[in-house]
Amino acid sequence: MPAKIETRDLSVSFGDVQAIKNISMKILANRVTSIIGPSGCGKSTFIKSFNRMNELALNTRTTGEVLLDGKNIYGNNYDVVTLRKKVGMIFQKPNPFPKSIYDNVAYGPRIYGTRKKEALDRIIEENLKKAALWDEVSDRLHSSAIDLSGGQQQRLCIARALAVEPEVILMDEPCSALDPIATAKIESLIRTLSLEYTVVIVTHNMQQAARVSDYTSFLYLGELIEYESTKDIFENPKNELTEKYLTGKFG
Amino acid sequence: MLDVGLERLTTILLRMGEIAEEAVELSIEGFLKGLDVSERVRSLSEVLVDMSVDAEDKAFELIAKYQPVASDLRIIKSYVKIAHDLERYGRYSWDISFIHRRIAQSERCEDPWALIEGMTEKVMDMVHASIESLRNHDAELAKKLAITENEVDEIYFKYLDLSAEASISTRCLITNLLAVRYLERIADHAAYMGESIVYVVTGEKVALR
Amino acid sequence: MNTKLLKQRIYFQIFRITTASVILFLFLMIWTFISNGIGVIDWTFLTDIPRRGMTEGGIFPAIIGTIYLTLGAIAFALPVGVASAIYLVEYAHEGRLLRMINSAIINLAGVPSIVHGLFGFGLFVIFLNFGTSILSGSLTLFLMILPIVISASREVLLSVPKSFREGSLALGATKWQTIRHNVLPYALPGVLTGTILAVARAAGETAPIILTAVFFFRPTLPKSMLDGTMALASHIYYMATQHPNIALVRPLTYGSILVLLGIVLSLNLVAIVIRTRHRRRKNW
Repeated sequence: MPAKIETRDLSVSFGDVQAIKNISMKILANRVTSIIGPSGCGKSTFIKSFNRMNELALNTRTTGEVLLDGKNIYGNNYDVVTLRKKVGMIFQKPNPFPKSIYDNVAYGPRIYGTRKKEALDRIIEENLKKAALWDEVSDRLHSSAIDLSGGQQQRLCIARALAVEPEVILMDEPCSALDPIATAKIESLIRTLSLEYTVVIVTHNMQQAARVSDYTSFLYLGELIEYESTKDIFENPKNELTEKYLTGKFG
Repeated sequence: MLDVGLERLTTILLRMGEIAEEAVELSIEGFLKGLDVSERVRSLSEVLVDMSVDAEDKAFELIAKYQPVASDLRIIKSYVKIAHDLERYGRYSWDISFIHRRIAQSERCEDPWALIEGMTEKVMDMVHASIESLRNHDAELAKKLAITENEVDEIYFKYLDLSAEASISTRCLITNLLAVRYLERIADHAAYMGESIVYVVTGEKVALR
Repeated sequence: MNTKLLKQRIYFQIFRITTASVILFLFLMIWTFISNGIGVIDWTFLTDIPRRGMTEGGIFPAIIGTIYLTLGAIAFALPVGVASAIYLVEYAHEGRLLRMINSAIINLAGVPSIVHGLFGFGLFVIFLNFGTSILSGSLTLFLMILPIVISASREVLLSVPKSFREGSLALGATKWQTIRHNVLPYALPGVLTGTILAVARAAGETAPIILTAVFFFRPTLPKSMLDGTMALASHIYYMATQHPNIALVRPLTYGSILVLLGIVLSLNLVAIVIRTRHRRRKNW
């Protein structure tokens, strides 16, 4: 199976601190891949290297390659803006813009030049449906997004990301600020999304990784310790560190 | 928290092991010496039934509460099976004593082909080994059960063949036949237990039968 | 009564008295101006040119002059100030240079207005040969209020949460698109407030405009940017200190003071109203 994203010897450091150490890994298309590990082991840094959002921080140095569909996204000719259109991101704390629900989802398409009302209407409805939010907000599209509940806000952010037609969706602990019911809704959404997109999710909740993902990778102190199908890693991990983490002996 | 629960579950199983060993020993002794031990064996068997239900409940409680994974999950999954195997030790022991009493009136039965005593020794060994490997999570010891299981099967089939050719059917013949059948089942469950132990320790699913 | 409680009560009373006296001074000032100047204010005063050696007539040219000067100052200060603030907050790299620049801006705000006036005189009036004109005055005032506009804009831009920028960039917007569509719109009210406060400051400055833009007596309205003009602040100065018959024109002086105060206070009020309404509606 071709890899959608492949990292080769990827290392990321901020100033003197090396956050990611020589990770080589293949992420398969149309699968949900989760990244687990104790706090501070570099999970967020790792996925932010897939859409080059690490570059927003100070003193970032990235070595090695990250290939999207075979092309190195850190290469000289690769356009960051196009990259971020193809690789969308959902953040830990839902960050809807203080605009209307409509304008939030329309933000991306408008940036890319879509202006006609009919086209935008269609895009908004389609993506709110994909994010399982349409039924709850179709009657108040022009009310402020800030008035939505946390779970709804996060689904709005998902709709907003989907509206620019990405191929990969990165999720950085998307449910950690949400209550269990909202979490459950988003988890089932993730499984649906993987039919059309490639999903990579960082989570500190092992059970969530077990429920939601096809493949799981375990990171510890910036290194890739183990990477298996979810079933195998949770039933019979091969590495002792993984076993210790999964059975709660640390982290 | 999960560890405490697992410890309690292990304690139940090890206690079951002790009782099951006693039940098997007692029923075999009664059978070979011509004693009526059926009441005692029956009460031991009933204790084992209760304890296996208790163990199963405890295991599912741990799953519901802690959603264990990796080795913890394998242990719990296997312990449920092992509790069943131990309960079967008790059940078949009771079957032996019951049949011995009901058909042979608890008399000492002749063994025309001198196979039964050897078989009971092997079965006893398997029961001891299975419980020992449970106590120590010893996969190597568990794997060796495959060998003895084969030997027990051979004796069993031999006894069946010989019995089929016997011209006269006596109470003792029938009792012996049934006892041999129950002993073979005990050996089977010892092998199953071994498989579960190997799975707990290595994550491998092996067939010891 | 125990001493701790007594001490506390004494301190609180001291604070109360201090605050009261400050408010008292303010009221005293306002009362002085109103009681002495209100009689002079009427439609003629506000729309007529000064007559008879400025002992009669109105202050219309001064009002217009003040308006032209402050508009001119804002016309330069707003775009330059906001653009600088955007650069400093969104584009400039952290480091010694940036800290130095921010320092310089703060120091510029502390330069005495007379020094600004002299600088403007040397640069705009003499060196660039604009002469005594609204242009020279506006440019000088522009330099004076620029730090205010930059600081206010900086503060507002910094208060827009990082998550807005991150969210926009993650959707594939460029940095400028992010600033234009997802940062500036939320910063605008704050920038407006800062601007109005800067305008209020510019309207009241005396030394810079005396050195660069005003004539004390100019009954005609200025015809272009290169024309000199009268202005309220300078008019008050002249009427109170340079006029041949100060005592006679004192009421007119008070009247002019009232008009200038009125303009400045209403501008401040507008800024406060905008800021309050914006804070209430602000939902992030």
